[in-house]
Amino acid sequence: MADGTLKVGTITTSSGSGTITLGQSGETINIPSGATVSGAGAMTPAFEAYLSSDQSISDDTWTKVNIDSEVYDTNPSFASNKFTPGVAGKYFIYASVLIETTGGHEYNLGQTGLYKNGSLFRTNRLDPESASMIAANVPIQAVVTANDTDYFELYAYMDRTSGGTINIKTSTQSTYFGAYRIIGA
Amino acid sequence: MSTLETNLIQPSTGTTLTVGASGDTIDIPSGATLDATGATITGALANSPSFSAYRSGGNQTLANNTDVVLQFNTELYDVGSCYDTSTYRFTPNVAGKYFINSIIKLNGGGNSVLYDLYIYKNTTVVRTTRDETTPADPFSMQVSAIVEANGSSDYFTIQFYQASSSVQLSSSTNSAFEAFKLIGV
Repeated sequence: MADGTLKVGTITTSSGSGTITLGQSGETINIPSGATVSGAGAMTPAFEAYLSSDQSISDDTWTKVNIDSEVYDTNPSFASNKFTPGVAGKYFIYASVLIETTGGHEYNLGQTGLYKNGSLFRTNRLDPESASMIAANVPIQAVVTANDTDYFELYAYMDRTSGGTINIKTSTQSTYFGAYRIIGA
Repeated sequence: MSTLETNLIQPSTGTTLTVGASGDTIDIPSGATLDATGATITGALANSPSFSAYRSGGNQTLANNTDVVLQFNTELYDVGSCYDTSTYRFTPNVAGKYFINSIIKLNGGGNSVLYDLYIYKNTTVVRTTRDETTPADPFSMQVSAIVEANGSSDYFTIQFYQASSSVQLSSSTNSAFEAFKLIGV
């Protein structure tokens, strides 16, 4: 068969359902650079956002982080501090929170928490042997499964050795929250 | 718009099947399953350009009180040849959004000073991770972001700041800079 170009708008199965096969083992399927892939072939929904101003939190209390400034949001899927993908699938979620004590080396325990539907799903903790810390980022990452209504939120926690102010800091987007869909997972 | 109804599409000659052209949108409807097991995917449906590089050949000495470009001088892989092991810049040649990650191992520590790890886009900081904890020797820091690149002049580096300390970037695969393109984002 001669080499050729087929111009068509939509490709469906001949029976209306089932499988469309492109190529076979050993061949290369090329979608040229510069083309846009959408739908199931795209890593969307995806978003990234960050804390735009410092946020005070209470000692020994899980507190939702006010992630209020979007870098981008494809569907959109992020609003009111919540990531609600709206498309069932698996997502890579990443975040980091910069927690700071003010006025002293009193950072006893810092934690970042990823909540799914209001419940703690995963934590990461920074727990120094001595309370000699002032500030540190606590990162967290997870691959999560979501249906079309599941939502995810970012929380932070600090235990301070004495009373005083605890801040979540915004310094150059150092407190951030992002996610993208994993294709085919 | 025309519709092709078929179950199998193969290249008429050779082993490459091209779907669409630059500027086109290839839509795989949400809800469809994309099975690319064993296939080679190139172009817009690939997570490339992508690379991973790390520090080898000796620790890197890092100056105080200034932002220093971290010298990840050895590539694990570099699809698209967009990372330069002499300038330590990632300059993607395809416009789009990229997931960037860096994790570093630092030799030294024990000092109560401020350490910042940055992602720079061109000459501007776009993401920061901070450690002000009197960390032990050695210690690690990590930073992630999804960034937008224009596919021509935009470049990214990982930079580090330390105040009054003498930590060094460890020569190790634990000191890495990596990135890949997100599909359809």
